[in-house]
Amino acid sequence: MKNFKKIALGLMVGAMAIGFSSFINSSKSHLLVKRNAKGKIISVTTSYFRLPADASTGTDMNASHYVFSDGALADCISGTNNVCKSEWTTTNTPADGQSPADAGSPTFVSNDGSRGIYNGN
Amino acid sequence: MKIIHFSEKFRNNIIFCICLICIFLFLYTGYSKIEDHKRFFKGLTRVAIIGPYALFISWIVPLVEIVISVLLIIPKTSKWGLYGFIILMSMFTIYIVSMVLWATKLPCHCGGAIEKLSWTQHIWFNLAFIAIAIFALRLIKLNTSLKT
Repeated sequence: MKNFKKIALGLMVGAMAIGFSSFINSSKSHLLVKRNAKGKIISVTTSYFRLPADASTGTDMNASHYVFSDGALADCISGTNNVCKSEWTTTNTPADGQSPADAGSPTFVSNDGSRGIYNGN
Repeated sequence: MKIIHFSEKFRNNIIFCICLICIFLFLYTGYSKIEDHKRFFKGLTRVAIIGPYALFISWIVPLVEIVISVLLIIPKTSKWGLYGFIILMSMFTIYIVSMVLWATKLPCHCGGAIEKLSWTQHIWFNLAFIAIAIFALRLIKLNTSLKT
C-alpha cells in the first residue's frame, strides 16, 4: 500500500513535469496566424532576423535580407545599433531558414525593438 | 549533526523527495526534447564531435531520461534510477565542461527553461543535482547497513 502511494505521487510529479514542459514550450511561438471562416490561413505575421551581411542602423524593407529561425537560440548579439529583427506578414507559415519572400507575398510590418546582429542560430 | 541520528522514516522521506525532484527534472527535460525534437536534433548537428550521430543521440537521450524517471518512480528500482541519474548527469556535465573548454560556439539544447542558464550556472546546477543524488544513495546504503 505504501509503495502504491509512492508510485502515485511519483506519477503525479511526472504529470506535473510534462504539463509544465508543454506550457513552457507552447509560449515560445510568436506566430500570429489569421484564418478565414473555413480555417484556411490568410496571413502569418512573425519576426524575421536580418542577415548579418545586410546589417545597418536604417530600416530595411527588402524581404530577401531577412531570414526566419525557429531555433530557441536565435537571438541578436547586442553591441551595435543595427536593426536586427523586423516583423513581416506572409501568406504561408515560414519554415526555418526561409525569407519572407519564400513564405509568400511579404508585407513589411515594423521594426522590432531589438538592436544588434543576428547570431545565425 | 549526523544524518544517522534521524529516524529511518525521516531518511526514507528525504530519499523519496530527492527521487521526486530527479523525476521532475528528467521528465521535464526529456519531454521537452521530444516535443521539440526537430530543434533539439538541429542543435546537435551543429556540434562537431557528435554531429554525425545527432539523430541517434536526439532520440536516445530523452528516452534514457524517461526510462530513468520510470526507474525512480518504482520504489524497488529507485536505487538503480539514482545510479542512472548520476551517470547521465555526469555525462551531461562532462559534455558542458568540454564545450566550455574547446568549443567556439556554445550550443545548449537541454530542453525547457534550463536553456536559459549560463554555462557556469549550468555546471553548478548539474553538480548540485549529482550531489543530492549521491546523498540519497548514501542514505539508502545507511538504511541497509543499519538493518543488517
